[in-house]
Amino acid sequence: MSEDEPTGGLLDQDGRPITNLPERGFVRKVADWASARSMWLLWYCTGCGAVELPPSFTSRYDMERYGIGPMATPRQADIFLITGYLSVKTVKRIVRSYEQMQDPKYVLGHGSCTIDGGMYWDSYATVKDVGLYIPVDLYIAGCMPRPEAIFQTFEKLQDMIIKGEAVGWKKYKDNYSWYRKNQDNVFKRGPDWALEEPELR
Amino acid sequence: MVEDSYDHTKRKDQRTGTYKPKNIPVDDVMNEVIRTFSDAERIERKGKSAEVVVGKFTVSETLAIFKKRGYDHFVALTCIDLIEEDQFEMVYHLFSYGAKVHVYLKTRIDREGPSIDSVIEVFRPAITYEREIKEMFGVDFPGNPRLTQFILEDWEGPPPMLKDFDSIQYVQDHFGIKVRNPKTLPPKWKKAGDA
Repeated sequence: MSEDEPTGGLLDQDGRPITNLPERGFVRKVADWASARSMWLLWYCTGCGAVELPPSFTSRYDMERYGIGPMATPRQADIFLITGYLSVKTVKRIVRSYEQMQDPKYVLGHGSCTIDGGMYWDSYATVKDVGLYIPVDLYIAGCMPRPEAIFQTFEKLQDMIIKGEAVGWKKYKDNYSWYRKNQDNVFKRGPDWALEEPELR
Repeated sequence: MVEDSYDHTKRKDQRTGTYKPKNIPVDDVMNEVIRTFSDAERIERKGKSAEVVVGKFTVSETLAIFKKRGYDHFVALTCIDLIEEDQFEMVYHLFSYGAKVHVYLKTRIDREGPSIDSVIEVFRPAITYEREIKEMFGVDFPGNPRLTQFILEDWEGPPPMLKDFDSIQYVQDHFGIKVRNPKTLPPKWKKAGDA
């Protein structure tokens, strides 16, 4: 992808993509209100963040109180929880999984490794900011964040969905060229990349 | 092809059918190695370990002697970047279950155009270790048929485990992020002791 090609969307002063909040009718608002209370969670356990998820699923904290349940496949999931550092090899799988999910979809970055690399800040093999490759709706800071922090994020995400502010999936469509340029900087889409290109609006 | 008369069936105790490793003292094997190769040199170590430095071209033969004498567990192959001496040091780790002794077989190769013959005809498991060292240090192993890309996918930079690989510069060039390290901090933020 060449440098002078338009990014397709809006950028803020830091060069990060932004998008306009969509206009929602009454039915859409009711649907958002309802869907915020029933979501499937796809958890991509990289790094050490996976140890915080069994207590979140099970009876100690009980994720089902929020209507959130674990899901095995990306195609049926609404939330994508990335729990830790991403190597260059892993981010390829992350992008494939993310592109298989259906709209609307929300990404949570769990732990400081997803924000700036964390303790792998100078590693040659680890990407530093996941937000460069897929749009992240909410980050959970900490190393490691406790399940309480995960649940605070779930509540915040539910608020954002009800207000119509969780639009990372729309950002990805509007600014696909921007994300694609960053993805091409770190990995190649070889002939085994079986997915078709996402359809641009 | 290195001669390998090692017979696995002889290690089995015929009466009980159990595994019985050879127990040959490491001093005997070391003396044989030093007698055979004039450039081999033993280095004294404490405890249940032994170290020998051999020339670059006699590694396979030396390993075959050790294997025949019961030092038949190829633990690992290590590469050390000695950038000040402009050399790589290859370390072949062996272990004997009978004598319960670790053997470190070391050799040095040049850092420019590094190359050393493969030892997979003696120890087949070395095929993966050599593949890793080819990727991480850029050392070539003639005779190894499987020196393809291993852990690093789509890697185009220099081998990352070299001492002169600038990790911070690579991160800034490839991952779109400005790394704050003591070398790039403004002077007023520097603490005492920062480089």
